[in-house]
Amino acid sequence: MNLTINGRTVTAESGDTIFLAALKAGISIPSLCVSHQLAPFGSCRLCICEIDGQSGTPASCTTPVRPDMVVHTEGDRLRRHRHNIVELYLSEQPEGSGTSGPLRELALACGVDRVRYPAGAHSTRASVRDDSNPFFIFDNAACISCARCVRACDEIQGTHALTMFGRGFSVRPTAGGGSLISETAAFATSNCVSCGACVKECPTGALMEKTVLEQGMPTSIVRTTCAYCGVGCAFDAGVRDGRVVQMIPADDGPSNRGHACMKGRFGWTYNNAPDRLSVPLLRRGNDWEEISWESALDLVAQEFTRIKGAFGPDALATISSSRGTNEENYLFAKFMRCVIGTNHIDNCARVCHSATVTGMMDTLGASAATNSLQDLDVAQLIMVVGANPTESHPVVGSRIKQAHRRGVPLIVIDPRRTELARLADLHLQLRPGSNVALLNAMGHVLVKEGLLDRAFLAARTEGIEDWIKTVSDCSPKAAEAITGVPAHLIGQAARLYGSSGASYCCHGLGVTEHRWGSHGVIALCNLALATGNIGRPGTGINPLRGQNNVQGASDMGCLPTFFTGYQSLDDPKLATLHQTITGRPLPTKRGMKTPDMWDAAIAGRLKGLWIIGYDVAQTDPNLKKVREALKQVEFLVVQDLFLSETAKHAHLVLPGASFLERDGTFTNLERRIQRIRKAVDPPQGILPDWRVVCEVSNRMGYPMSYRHPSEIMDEIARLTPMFAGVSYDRLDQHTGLQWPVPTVMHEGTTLMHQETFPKGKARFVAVEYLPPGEAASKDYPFVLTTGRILQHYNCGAQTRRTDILELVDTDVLEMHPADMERLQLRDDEIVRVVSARGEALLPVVGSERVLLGHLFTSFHFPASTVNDLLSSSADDSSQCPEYKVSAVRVEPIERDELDPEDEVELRHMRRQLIT
Amino acid sequence: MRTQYGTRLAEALESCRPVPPDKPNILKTLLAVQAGLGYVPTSDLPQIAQVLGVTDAQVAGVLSYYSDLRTQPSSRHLIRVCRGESCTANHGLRVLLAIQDHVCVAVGGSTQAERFTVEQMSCAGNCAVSPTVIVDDEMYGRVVPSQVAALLERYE
Repeated sequence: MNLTINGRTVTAESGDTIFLAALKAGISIPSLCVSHQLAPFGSCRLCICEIDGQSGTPASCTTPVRPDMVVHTEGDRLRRHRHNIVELYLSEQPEGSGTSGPLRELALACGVDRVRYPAGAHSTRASVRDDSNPFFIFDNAACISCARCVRACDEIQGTHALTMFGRGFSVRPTAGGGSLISETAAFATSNCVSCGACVKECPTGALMEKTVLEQGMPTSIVRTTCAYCGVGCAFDAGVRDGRVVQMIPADDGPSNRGHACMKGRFGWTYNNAPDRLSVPLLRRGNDWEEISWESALDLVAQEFTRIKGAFGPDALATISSSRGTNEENYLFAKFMRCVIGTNHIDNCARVCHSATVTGMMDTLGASAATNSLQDLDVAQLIMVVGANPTESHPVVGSRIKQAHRRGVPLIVIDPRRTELARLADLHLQLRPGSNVALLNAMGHVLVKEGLLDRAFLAARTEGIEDWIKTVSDCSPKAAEAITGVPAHLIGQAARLYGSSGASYCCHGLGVTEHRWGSHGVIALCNLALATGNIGRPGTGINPLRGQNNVQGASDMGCLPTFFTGYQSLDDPKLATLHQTITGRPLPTKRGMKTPDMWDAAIAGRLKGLWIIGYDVAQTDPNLKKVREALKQVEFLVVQDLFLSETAKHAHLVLPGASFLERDGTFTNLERRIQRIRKAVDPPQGILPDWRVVCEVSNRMGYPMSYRHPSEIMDEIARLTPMFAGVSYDRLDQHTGLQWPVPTVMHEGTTLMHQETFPKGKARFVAVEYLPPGEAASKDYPFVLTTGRILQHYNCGAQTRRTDILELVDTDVLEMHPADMERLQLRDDEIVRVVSARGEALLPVVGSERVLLGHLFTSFHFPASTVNDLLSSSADDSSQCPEYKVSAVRVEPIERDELDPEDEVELRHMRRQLIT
Repeated sequence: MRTQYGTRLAEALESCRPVPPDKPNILKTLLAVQAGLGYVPTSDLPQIAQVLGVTDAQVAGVLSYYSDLRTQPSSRHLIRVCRGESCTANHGLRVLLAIQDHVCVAVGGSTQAERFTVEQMSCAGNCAVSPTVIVDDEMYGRVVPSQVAALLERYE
């Protein structure tokens, strides 16, 4: 429709507000409380306008457009009104509080140079300052009570930690309920998750980052991508005097749309941590000797050349980093294949989603999210399986909560009563390790009640009969006995999933990290295929990848079984292309997976190992074995930002550059390749990982000369059909590119498998339920699951070096309150957790998030040694470890049993003394 | 005493526990708690939030907004004097002063022996017969200062 604003004809959509229509036409209207992320509210009254034929001055942000409307947003009357409104805002400022920047600027713009109302003749804002949050402050003096922060917490984050408190003149935003009992530390005692949405929305600086208050506003901005989880949030890094002082989520970030979580928003200060490594360290007995980069690089080249000469290429291996860039991962793989001549390269996808890779390859023929995050906007139903996105992928978690608030039904399949499980329409709280039984029973109901998509099955799939035969034995009643989930709930879930019209499924490590993890993924894919929930908007199978570039590390061929783009190592066409481009033959023999490397090291077959940005000695299962393997290796090089648990075993440690200090690309969980850009210089002399590989390679007689990571990407594009259209020029122009990108004209793929599957037809793979590797027994009566919490990230190397530590400074064992009572345990009491492999000391807390007989803990603190408890049990086809099921027992301990020399025990003792 | 309090709170909360697909009703719940206990103790806010499946902040927002909701125990009888436009025009202030003189307490305060608490309110919606005084649940219109003593006699 058309309307007239300030004499100009403007086109608008029905449902637009005048404010939005003006904005689209490039007409700016003053405002404080408007946000494109939030529903119209109309609080600040600055965006008032005049409409011909209508009296008064309505707020343009809440007035919908009508055809042929004639609107004025400027004029003497409006200017006078705005002047007076700003003057009233200023009059509320407590004396001596100093007007905040944005309000002062607005006052200047409106020509308000003094306040006519005498002090004391009217209410002023209460002097409330809340600096209890580790990352930001709230200063009521600078606030105008527009409620934008409260709306951000409700509408964007969905945490509802903020409210407008009181009414009339005294109304102000506050966190939690503490203000009623006159607490000022409201943020710290509330359920705030420090996502920073309120701080970003605040128009007056009443909510402000502490880093900015301490170090000043940024003077330049660099667009980059977050290096925590796999969501791939776009951020603007604010830089001042060569340091990052602020990270603001970008509104045009395709996967985060202006939102972020605690870790990405505030958890980047590890970049300036005092114990960052800056010089290569060589082991001299139990000491470290600082050596020059030249000699460090010489040493790597010498040792690798020596070992290769003496024992052959198969005595060397590399574990690449899912935290590194695509370009670096490609180069490490290239180094192993072209310089060493082996496929012994793996990455940490092995321990998280390798089961997804095999499971999705077997059924769909491609191992990545079939759909995009934008599909959450159009999904008619969301099913979350074995994933806790509000903690592990918080921005996705928020988007699922937003969808649920719009009325989209939510099914959660998880042994734990997570935040999403509490919100869900259906929570199927199954026993750990029984995914396949439950998913097959859902299949049983779909078959029995005729909810299969017959047309899709006929045209796009094969092998349905096998699957029908298998699930026909899996009645919900039988599944109830295995899973503990009431049969009627299984039926209800199946009916909802099968009949919604568009069911979006996402899964996490609760599906993959099991003895039969690939089968869990296959069972999910079977359900999606059977109901035609694939290849259409709002549907699909979408693995929530855990690390920033775990998708990319696998895409780049850091796998012992695939070349870049999952190309087969024995493809003759690829062999020719590889020879032409790299000048070296592509080794065809499959390499070792990470767990095989441990076996080979212990057996003495693996002599040299290079580990990049991956703390295997804290995060792999069965740590005793891992440590043993690391000790056996003749030459261990570890590249990391910090002296990690793994680095402590190394012969040579090379310092790394952080994501804020280098250029490259990450690929997020929706296959989106996005740029990271150097915002600040690394500590003096540190080489980015890609330069390190080049230098070592040059010294070993295979020159690698790239001037910039973009040239590495060009080479990847030439070698890989699905990246053929990827280049930095294109990545810089667009908001990234979602693979496959087969040509330079191709726009990227938001939705896979629309017309056909990579193998033509998708294949049903019938899988039967098989029990987990371990079950609770008389000696080990509890089942322990490990996972992540919101505040920390994996091995914790980064988050433990930030102010997040003020919020959470230890791993905690969650136990059902009834079990606590039975064992006569108190909250925060330290207990000993014992498995057949080892033991760990942890404080225990009662939690209704876990089932009776089920325990949960995180693995973020090395002192907890949680992974000592875990077995080497793993999925058959992918070797993805069974992190989610370990049989353990819990023993109380006496205080005098504790070792006061031990750091973690000391902390626990202090806690006990306090409580 | 504490047990009885706990029972009343539990009863009030149980009567308001949301049954899906109904959404939690914070205002109704707070009114029920106040009906049971005479006020809404702020220390019980987390328990109220938990039963409703909402956050502390959401309950605090409602509780701090409505003047009908009290966070302190009031005396046996609550006197509320309307200060809306109509009542003010019809000398409501004189009525308020007369009440204060009679019970010897200022606005917001409670009398000795906790017989009366005096509060003022904005419009009670009784403008046609202003000025208005509300004692507990009973509303009185066209109140003049000379009636105050007799009016309050009824409340022991």
